[in-house]
Amino acid sequence: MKRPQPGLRHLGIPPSGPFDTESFRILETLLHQGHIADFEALELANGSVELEFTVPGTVAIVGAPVSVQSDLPDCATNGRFPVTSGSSIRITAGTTGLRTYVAFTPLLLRATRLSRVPGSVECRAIRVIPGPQFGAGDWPLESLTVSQVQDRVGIRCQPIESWAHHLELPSEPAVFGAIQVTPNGTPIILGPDGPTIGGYPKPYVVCQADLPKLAHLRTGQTVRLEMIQLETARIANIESGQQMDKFISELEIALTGDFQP
Amino acid sequence: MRTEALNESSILVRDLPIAPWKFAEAARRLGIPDAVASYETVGLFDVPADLDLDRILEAAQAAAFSSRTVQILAIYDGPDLATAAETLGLSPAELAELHHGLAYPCHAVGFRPGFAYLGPLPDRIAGLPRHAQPRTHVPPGSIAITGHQTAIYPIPSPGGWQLIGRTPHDLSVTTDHQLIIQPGDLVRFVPCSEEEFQNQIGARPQVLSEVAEP
Repeated sequence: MKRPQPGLRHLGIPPSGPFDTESFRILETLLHQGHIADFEALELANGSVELEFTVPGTVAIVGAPVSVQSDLPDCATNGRFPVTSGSSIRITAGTTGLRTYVAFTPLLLRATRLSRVPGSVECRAIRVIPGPQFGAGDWPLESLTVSQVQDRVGIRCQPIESWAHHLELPSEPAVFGAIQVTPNGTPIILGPDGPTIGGYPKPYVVCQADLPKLAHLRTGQTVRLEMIQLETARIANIESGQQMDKFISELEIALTGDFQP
Repeated sequence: MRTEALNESSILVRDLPIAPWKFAEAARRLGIPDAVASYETVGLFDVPADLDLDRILEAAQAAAFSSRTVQILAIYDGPDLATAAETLGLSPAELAELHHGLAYPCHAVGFRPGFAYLGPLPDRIAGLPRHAQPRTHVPPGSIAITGHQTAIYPIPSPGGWQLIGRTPHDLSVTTDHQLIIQPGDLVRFVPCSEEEFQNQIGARPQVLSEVAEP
């Protein structure tokens, strides 16, 4: 998993990138000073994995809490720890949140555990703005319950009876976070690998500040939709960006000196 | 022209006085990285609020665009062919004949990488709805119709359209980001035998001509 790559949407290729960009950014900061363009991480979605290290270095884990089994000390989610050559760790999915990011660097860095992460792992409500077809039907604000069909392309929710419709529309460009509704009222929240063009009506769009929360919705989980206006969403996006920038710069200060050769 | 918000930093442009794909291409030539055309609309992603749409329109109206004809081999035996034909009051053979009787312009590419939106279909085979519950897996090469549109699924993906046939061609985006069917191209479906199909599996389709349009 790398950062999103915009500029290919006209080929039908979405920017993709990590579902939870905040966790990804914290992970990157834990292992590198400054931003590197081709930083890569594993995105685990409720998955378990065993990693074996052939060279010494440092591993970082950020996102939904997982349990880490290993002979190494200091292993935990939301932190980093050194690994030795020939060592291995087993990561087992937890029950809160869904996506966990794991990365490795051959740099030898001291173990660090973050006491607080501005995460979106636990979420009960998601803010939405009116989408392109908000006015084309009647879409009473309802809670969404996540179905078993969900991946990086889209999160299919349980059908909402009052959202059933007979709209047949020309397909239109679509964004990550748009909520498409199929004729039987099934909401599909488009993910980072979602379609660049979609034909179902999109009455709501998840505000950009809440996109990382979508990464952690689990099958069966119910979230409330809260409607906000575009200007409020713009302000929320700027504010959450500033909070994240502050967190990252404080983390960078705390890690100062760790990245000396 | 009229705009709507797609999200906080992206807009949808409606009521364009020019083909949307021409507007989108002009926008990309002017340095907007993500400009996506559909039938009637253009999405401009991560753009400044004070974006000058008139400047893009002027550039689109002054620009030259190329146009080609792409020939797609087809066998009409899709899982929805019989029910689609019945709904339209046609035999499967009649539906197939009407489908390959016309060449279709490509209006847009999107949904999945390389998925080309073609149409409009002749009235007699138009108007079929999408499936109420989309299939979670449509095989690549599936030829599909819905409403006035037709398309070929280039890669495995979910999909809600009516599947009426299949092509052996590889229509996925090339590794150097070239589209096999581009907006502005004309696409012609050509029925073929199972033997021809087998011989052409994975082959890129034939491009018949390239003409510069002023």
